[in-house]
Amino acid sequence: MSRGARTVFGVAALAALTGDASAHAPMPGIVGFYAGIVHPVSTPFQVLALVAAAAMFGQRWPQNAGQWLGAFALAVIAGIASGQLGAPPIAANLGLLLSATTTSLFAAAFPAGAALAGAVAAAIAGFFIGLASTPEQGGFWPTAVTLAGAFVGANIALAYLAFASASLRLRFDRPWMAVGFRIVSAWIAAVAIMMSALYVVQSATRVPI
Amino acid sequence: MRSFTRPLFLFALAAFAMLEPQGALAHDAEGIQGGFVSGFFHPVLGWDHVVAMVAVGLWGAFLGAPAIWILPVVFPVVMAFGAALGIAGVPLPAVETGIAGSALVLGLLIAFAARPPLWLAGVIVAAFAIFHGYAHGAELPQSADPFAYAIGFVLATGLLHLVGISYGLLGRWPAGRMAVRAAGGVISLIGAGYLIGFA
Repeated sequence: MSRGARTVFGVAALAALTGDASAHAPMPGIVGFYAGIVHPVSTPFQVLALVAAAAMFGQRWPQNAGQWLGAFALAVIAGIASGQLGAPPIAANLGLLLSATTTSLFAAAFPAGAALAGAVAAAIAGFFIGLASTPEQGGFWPTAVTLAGAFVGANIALAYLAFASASLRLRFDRPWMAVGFRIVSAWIAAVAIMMSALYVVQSATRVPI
Repeated sequence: MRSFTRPLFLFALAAFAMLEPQGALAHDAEGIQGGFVSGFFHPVLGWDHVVAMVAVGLWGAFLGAPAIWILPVVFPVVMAFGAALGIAGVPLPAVETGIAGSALVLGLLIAFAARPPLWLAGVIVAAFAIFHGYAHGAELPQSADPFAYAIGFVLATGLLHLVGISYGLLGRWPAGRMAVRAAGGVISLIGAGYLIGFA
């Protein structure tokens, strides 16, 4: 079996092993810094925003990676601070979906678009991921430690996904790979648009997603 | 070494599968599994959806670059806006007619080897995507897991485009070009069948 076939087979096998959703369920045994680390990847909306950003990063790695990662990191801090200042969670969820929509549309339509626009998209994603990663209120130090974990977790998650995405593109440096990135970005945008609509409608009728 | 590596790899996968604990799910598609599966099969199990989405990829491949990727990018994004209309309950008339009409029109465009300007091809595909999205989106709020449902049907849509693109690449050869145009004719006939109620 070739290396490529083994990889495809392995990914397919792992994809088939879907478990139950556990978004924002209690995480027994994971507290403090480590709870903060996993918080940015604990809901589907956060993961969607991260994957959308990673698809955008992957298309432009390594040209703009440093600037965009920096913009993302600063925005995560701003988002965490806003969460601590009392920004409502509904703003975080809707913001994550709109961020995933705009980022993936940008990646699909303008893979060679302006670096500044990419930095803004990365910053918007970082802000809402930070905002959504705010823990329940507790004492000062426990909260600070958890927030530090959230900052580290958000940046590690994005760096990991972006590097994986970039590695895939650079490994198969062919025209069809660039086309594939645009098409997958369009798929992410489609999912984000539908989830945004569903979230708005169900929030208006107070039906939880 | 090669003969050793393959069984070892399969054994590792099997071991990993056994280490992944989950409850028995025989014929009980709920939650993420149910949402994804029902979303994935929603476009696949309706022939009107299938032929129209295959036609989008087929036409894109027939038109060549950049339509080969622009049409499969435009379709899911605009389809999502159509789904948003369905989710919001905005009334849209003649949805099924629009879906059947998409197969009829796209099939005819392929059969007659139509080559409109790229923007017009995008507008035609986008207009029909609204109807397909609406049909999917109207069912999305009732699904077991809307997020997984959305991923499933977007993925299925993309794979159907890929089927069309793959077949459409036959158009590089003269005989293949005839086969592609013939496929367009079949698609238009299926669309016509749905339109007049035979299918």
